Amino acid sequence: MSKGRFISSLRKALTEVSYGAALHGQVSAVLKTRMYIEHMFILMILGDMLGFPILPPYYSLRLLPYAVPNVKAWKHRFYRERDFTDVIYG
Amino acid sequence: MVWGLRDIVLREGGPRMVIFAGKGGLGKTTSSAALAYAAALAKKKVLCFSTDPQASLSDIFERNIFGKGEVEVAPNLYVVEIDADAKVGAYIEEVKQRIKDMYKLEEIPPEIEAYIDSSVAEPAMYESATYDAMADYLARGDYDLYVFDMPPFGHGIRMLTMADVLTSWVEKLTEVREKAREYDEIASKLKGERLVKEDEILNELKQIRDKLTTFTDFMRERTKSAFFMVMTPEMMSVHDTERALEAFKSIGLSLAGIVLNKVLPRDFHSSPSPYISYRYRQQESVMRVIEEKFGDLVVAAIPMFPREPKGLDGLREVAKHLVDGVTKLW
Amino acid sequence: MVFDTPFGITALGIAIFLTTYFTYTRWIDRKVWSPDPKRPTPAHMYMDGVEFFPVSRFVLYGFQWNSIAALGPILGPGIALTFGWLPAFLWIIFAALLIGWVQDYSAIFLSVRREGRSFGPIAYELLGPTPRRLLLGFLLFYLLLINAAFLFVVATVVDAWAGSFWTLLVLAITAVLTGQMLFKMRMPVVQVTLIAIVLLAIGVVIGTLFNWPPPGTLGTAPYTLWYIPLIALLVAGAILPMPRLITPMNYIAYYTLFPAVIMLAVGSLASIFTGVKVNTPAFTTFFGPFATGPLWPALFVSIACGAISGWHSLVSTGLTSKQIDVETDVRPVGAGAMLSENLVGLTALAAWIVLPAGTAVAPANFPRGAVTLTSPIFGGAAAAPVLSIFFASYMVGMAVTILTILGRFWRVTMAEIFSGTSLSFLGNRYVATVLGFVLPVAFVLTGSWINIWLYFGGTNQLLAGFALLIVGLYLFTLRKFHWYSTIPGIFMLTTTLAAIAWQTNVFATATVTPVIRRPDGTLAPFFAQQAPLLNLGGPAALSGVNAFSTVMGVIMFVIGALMAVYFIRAFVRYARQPAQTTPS
Repeated sequence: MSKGRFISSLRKALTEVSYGAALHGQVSAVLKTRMYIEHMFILMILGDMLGFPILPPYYSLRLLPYAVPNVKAWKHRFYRERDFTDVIYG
Repeated sequence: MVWGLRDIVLREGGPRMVIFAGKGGLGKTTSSAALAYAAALAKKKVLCFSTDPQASLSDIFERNIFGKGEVEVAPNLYVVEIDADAKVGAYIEEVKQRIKDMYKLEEIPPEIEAYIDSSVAEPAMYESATYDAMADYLARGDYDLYVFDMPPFGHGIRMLTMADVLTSWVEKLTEVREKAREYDEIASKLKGERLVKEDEILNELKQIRDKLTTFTDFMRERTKSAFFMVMTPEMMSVHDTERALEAFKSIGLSLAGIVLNKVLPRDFHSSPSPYISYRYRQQESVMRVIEEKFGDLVVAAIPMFPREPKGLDGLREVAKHLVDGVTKLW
Repeated sequence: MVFDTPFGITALGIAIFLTTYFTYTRWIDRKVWSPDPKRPTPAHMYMDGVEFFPVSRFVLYGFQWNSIAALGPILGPGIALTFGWLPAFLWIIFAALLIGWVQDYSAIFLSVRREGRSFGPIAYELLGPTPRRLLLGFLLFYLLLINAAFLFVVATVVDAWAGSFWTLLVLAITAVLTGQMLFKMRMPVVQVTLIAIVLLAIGVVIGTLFNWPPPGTLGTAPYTLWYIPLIALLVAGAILPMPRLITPMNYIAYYTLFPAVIMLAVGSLASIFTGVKVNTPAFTTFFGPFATGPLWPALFVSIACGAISGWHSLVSTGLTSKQIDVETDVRPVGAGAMLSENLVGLTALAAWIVLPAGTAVAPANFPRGAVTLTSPIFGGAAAAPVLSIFFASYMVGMAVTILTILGRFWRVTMAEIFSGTSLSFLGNRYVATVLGFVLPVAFVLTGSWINIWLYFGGTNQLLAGFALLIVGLYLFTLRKFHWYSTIPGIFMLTTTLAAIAWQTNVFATATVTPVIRRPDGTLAPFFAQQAPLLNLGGPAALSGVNAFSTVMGVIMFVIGALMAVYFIRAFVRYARQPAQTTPS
C-alpha cells in the first residue's frame, strides 16, 4: 500500500469512527422512530393482511405500491419475538 | 309554494350538483335524465351520471353507453353510465403495473398479489369505485351541472358517511406521512446526505383528499347541491321516505324536495273498470298522508305514463311535469 | 521507579490491552466462533434500512464505544481506592484480559448467530419463559438503580461545583438550538457543530465565572434542592419528541466526552514528564469499612463499566448485532470497543490516585483529581478553575444524557408492561416518566453514595454474569469451548450475589439501628452520610428509606439466586441432550 493510500484510508477510518461515536446512535434512534411511524402507516393501509379490519380498500390499494418494500420488514418486525430489551435505542 | 324543479335547479345561482336518491325502480334514472335534458336545453353543459348496474340510461337513450365514459347524447348533454366491475378490474391492473414499474419487477411478490386479488371480492370496492368516479368528475369541474343518480345501496346515505370516514382516514395518513418525512429529513441531515426524493405518498394523499373534500363540500353546501328523493304514492314508499328523511337529518343534510312519480291521472277516478277506480281511490288516501307528512316538501309530480318514457321525446314529456310542473295532478 | 506516576499503570495497561486484543481475543475468535465472512449476517438477512442494515466496522466501533463509555468508568475507581490502587489496577487488568471483552464480544456474536435477537428473546430461547420474566423484572430494578446512581452524581457534583449547573443549562439550551438549526433551519451539520462547540465553551466559561451558589449555602439538605431543576429537565427530555432535545444533546455532549477522555489519557501518559505523583497507597486493607465491606466482593462491583458491565450486553444485542456487516467485524467492534473502554477506566483510576491520600470517596472529588492530572499540560495552575468546571460539567453532562435515554426507555417499558392491565395508569407517559425519576430519588435520599454505587455495581455486574452464562449455555449446547465465558460468568454471579447480600445487610442494619451519635454529638460514620435525610425528615424517614433500600436488595438477591438455579438446571438439561450441530 502506498503512503498516500494509507493516509487516505486512515482518514476514512477516523472519520467513520467519529461519525459512529458522535452520530450513529442518534441516527439509529431517529430511524427507529421513523420506522414506527412507517409501520403505523402500513398498518393503516394493509392491516387486514394481518387480520385487522381496516377501512377503505380502494384507496389503500392506491398507496400499496409505496408500502411494498417495507412489507417484509414490517411483517418480520411484527411477528418477531420482542420485548423491551429491543427498545434501548429509541 | 314551489312547483317544478326549474325554480330550484335552473335558476340563476342554482346548485351545481343534483342528486336523486331513493329505492331502485321508482324512476330515479328517468328523473335524472329528464332534468339533465331540460338543463341542456336551457344551455347548460350537463353531466348525467348513473350508477345503476341495470344500464337503464342506455335504455332511456336507446343506445349502449354502459361503461363507455362520457357520451354526448344531445347538444350539451353528456351521460355516463359507470361499469363498476370493469372499473375495479382496470384499477387493480393499474396498481399491479405500478408496483412492477416502481420496483422494476417481473412478478409481483406473491403475498402482495394475493392480497390485491382478494380485495376485489370486497363489495365495498364497487361502492368506492363508483364514488371515486363521481368525485373525479366533480373535482375536474368541466360541467355547469352534475346530475347524479344515487347508487341504490342504503339510499345512498352511506356515500356521505363513507366520504367522511375516508376524509378523516386520509387526514390521519397524511399526518403520519408528514411526521415520517420530518424524521427522514433529520436522519439524512445527520448522516450528511441530502434528501432529494419527494414523498410521493404525500402527493397521492393530497390528491385523494382534495378530491374527497370537493365532493363532501359540494354535498354539505346547500347552495352548491340539491338532494331530491323520488317516491311513488304508495304506503310502502311513504315509510321508506320517512326513514330516509331521518337519516338525512342525522348526517346534517337537508332535502331540497320530494318528487312524486307514477301518479295515476285524475280521469282514472271515473274509469269504468272497478280495478282502476279502486286503485285511484287508494292513491287518494295515500296522497292525504303524503300531504300531511311531507307537505311543502313535495315539489314535483310525474304522472304514470301509458308506456315507459324513452328517447329525448319521452324525456321532454317527463320534464314538462318534473321541471315545469304543468298541472297539478290531483 | 515508573509506578511513582500514573504513567506506569497507564503504559503497562495499554501494553496489556493491546496484547490481549492481538492474542487471546483472536484465539477465542478462531477457536470458538470461527467467523465466516461468507455467512450472511442479520444485517443482510433482514435488511430494512432502519434497524437491520450493514454498517462499516469503524462506525460500529465508534458507536459501541460511545454507547458504553459514559460515566461508569469514571466513578468506580474512587470507591475501589479504599483498598489501595494496586487491587483496583489489578482488577481492571484482570477484567480486561478475561472478562470484560468476553461479554461484549460474545453477546454480539451470540445475537448475530441468533438472527439479531435481543437479550430478552435469547434468554427466553435458552432458558425458558420464567427466567426471561425474572430477567425483565430485574432490568426494571436495574434501571432504577442506574437512575439513582447517576442522579446522585449530578446532584452532588453540582452541589460541589455550582458553576457546572449553569454549564449544564447552557448545554441544554445549546441542544435545543442545535436541534432547531439542524432540523428546522436546515443549516449544514459542520456549521452547526462549530456553533455548538463555541456555545459549549462559553458555557464552561460562564460556569467558571458564575460559580454560584457556593457549596454549603443551600441550607441543611444542600444537594436535594438540585433535584428539582434536574428532574424538570429530565422529564422534559423524556417527553419531548427526541429531535427537540435528546438527539442534539447526545450529539453535542460527545464534544465534551471526547476531549475529556483524550485529556485524561494524555495527562496520565505525560505524568512521567509532568511529575504528577501517585499519592494514594498501593494497598491498605482487605477489610474495608462496614458500609463498603471486604475487598472481595466489594472491589469487583465498585469498578463496574471500566472493567465489565451488564449494560454493554444490552447495547451489544440491542443494536450493534443487527448491523454487523460480516462476522469478522465482531471482534474489532465488540472486543476493540471494550478494551478501549478499559483504557478509559484506567485513566480515570489515574485521576483518582493523584489526589491526596485520605480524600473522601465522593464523585465531586473526581474533577480535583482530573485537574491535578491534566493541568500541567493544559494551561497550568491558571487554567485549574476552568478545568475543574470542565470536568465537573463533563460528569454532569454525561450523567444527564444517559439519564434522558434511560428515562425514555423506562417510559416505553412501563407502557409495555402496564398498558391493558388494571394498573394502566402506571403506563401513562407522564406518570411513568415522573415515577422513573422520583423512585430513584427516594433511593438517593439515603445519601449514601458508597451503598448506592455498590448496589448499582452489583446489579450491573450481575447482569453481566447473566449475559456471560447465557453465552456459555449457548456454546455448551453446540459443544463448543464454553468455559471461557462460563467461568467468568460463575465468578461474576457469585461475587455479585455476595456483594448484594452485604449491601442489603448494611441497609437492614441501618434500618433497625437507632441513629447513633457519638458523645460529642456527631453522627456515627454510616449515618454521617445520611445526615441530609436525617435533617430533612428525622429518624423515621431515615428508617423508611433504609427499609426501602433493604427490600430492593432482597428482591435483587432473590432474582439473582433464582437465575443461578435456572442456569444450573439448563446446563444439566442440555448436558443430557445430544450436541446440536447447527445453530437451530
